[in-house]
Amino acid sequence: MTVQVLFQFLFGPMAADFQSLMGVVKTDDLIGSLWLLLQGMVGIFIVMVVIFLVIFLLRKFTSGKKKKE
Amino acid sequence: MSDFGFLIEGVQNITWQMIVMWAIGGLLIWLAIKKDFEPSLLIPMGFGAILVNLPFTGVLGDNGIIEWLYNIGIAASEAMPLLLFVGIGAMIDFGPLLSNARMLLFGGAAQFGIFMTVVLAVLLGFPLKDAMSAGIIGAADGPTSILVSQVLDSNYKGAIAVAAYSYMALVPIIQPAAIRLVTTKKERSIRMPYNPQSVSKTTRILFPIIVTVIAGLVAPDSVALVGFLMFGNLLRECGKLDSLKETAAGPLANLITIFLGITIAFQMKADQFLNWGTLLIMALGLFAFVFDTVGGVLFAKLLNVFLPKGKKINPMVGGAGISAFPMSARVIEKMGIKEDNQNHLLMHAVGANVAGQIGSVVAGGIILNLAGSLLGV
Repeated sequence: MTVQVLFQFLFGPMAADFQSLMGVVKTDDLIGSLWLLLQGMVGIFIVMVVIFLVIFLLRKFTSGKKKKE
Repeated sequence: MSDFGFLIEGVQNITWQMIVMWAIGGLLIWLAIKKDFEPSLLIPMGFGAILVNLPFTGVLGDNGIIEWLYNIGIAASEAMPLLLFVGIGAMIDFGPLLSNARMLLFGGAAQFGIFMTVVLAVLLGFPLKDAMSAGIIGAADGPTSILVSQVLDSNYKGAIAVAAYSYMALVPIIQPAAIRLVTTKKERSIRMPYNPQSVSKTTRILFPIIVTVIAGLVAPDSVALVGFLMFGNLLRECGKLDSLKETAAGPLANLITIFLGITIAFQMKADQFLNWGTLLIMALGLFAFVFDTVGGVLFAKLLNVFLPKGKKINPMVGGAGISAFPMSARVIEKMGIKEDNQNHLLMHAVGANVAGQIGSVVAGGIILNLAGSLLGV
């Protein structure tokens, strides 16, 4: 799993699974959740920036038309 | 006398778990009526919780109406939450966002709590699918929470729906406390002049169409959520379908709301609901709401580092980037006025709040998309 390799590179060897309140915390799940945090936030910002650019362009190209409307 | 034993058969089969669920149902109804906490959802859910926890209840099983509503309206295609989105889209005016587009960034930043909560839930020992479903409570968006927990087949669907709607009603309590934690009085007093720019009708019509296409291309799983929301908005903005717009925003949304709450109660059967996991899910939901708010506020503070004097953003506006509309925007306006009675932040906060509605559905879609690779869903 490339994500695991990346985390090992960044944070060193991973600890083994451990027991928590609701059950065993699997290292894979923990890495998956951290990866989700990164991908999710970056993904949302990319979508928001694209929508921002769309609004900017829409307003730029429709502002002249407004006078006619 | 034994011929009349059937009259007490139900009483004899009452369990303590059922009584606890009746109390929870009663509590939801009490909160809705006495405290005005999302009555449109909590009253049907509270009543439904009582209904599904009666001995030999006729609403469950092959011929049970609530089980049928659940299977057809939610489990089969998530029809109910999605149809509700058409109504919500018809209610939303994206004007404040279109005239002040930078508020979109807060609609993204304030989704931080969702993903942070997933990490915390995993650390508590929840399986990834339940952790992702718990995180989505932070979308502050009931239908999105219901949909994501259904698609991921979480074991805590009922608790997630209850938490999502309860905390939405608690926004006026949760957000001020979280915002005060991470801001100074000076920051809360920053004034932001509001200079709205006109938005053409063409922009208003094209916006829902283009956002749907973008969301569909970036996160295909979000297209049902975003698409139905934006379809409702297109009905509103096209100017040709006023009666459909009014039907979507009124009778359609009301009808779905009535049955969504009582149908969700299917997940509130005592054997599924009464466990420690439910309590932890409720706590995680609160964590998600707090960190959404904190994420939005801290992002505004980060932007202020780069903005010139006089153009600074009041960080509280960042906290309005959650989906709970319009409660969050109102909370920020009240807080602004409390610090400085001339500091009106409402329109900025409305822009961020509307952006939060887009952000939350996109976040839901991204979670579903990533669940595909992480869980193979």
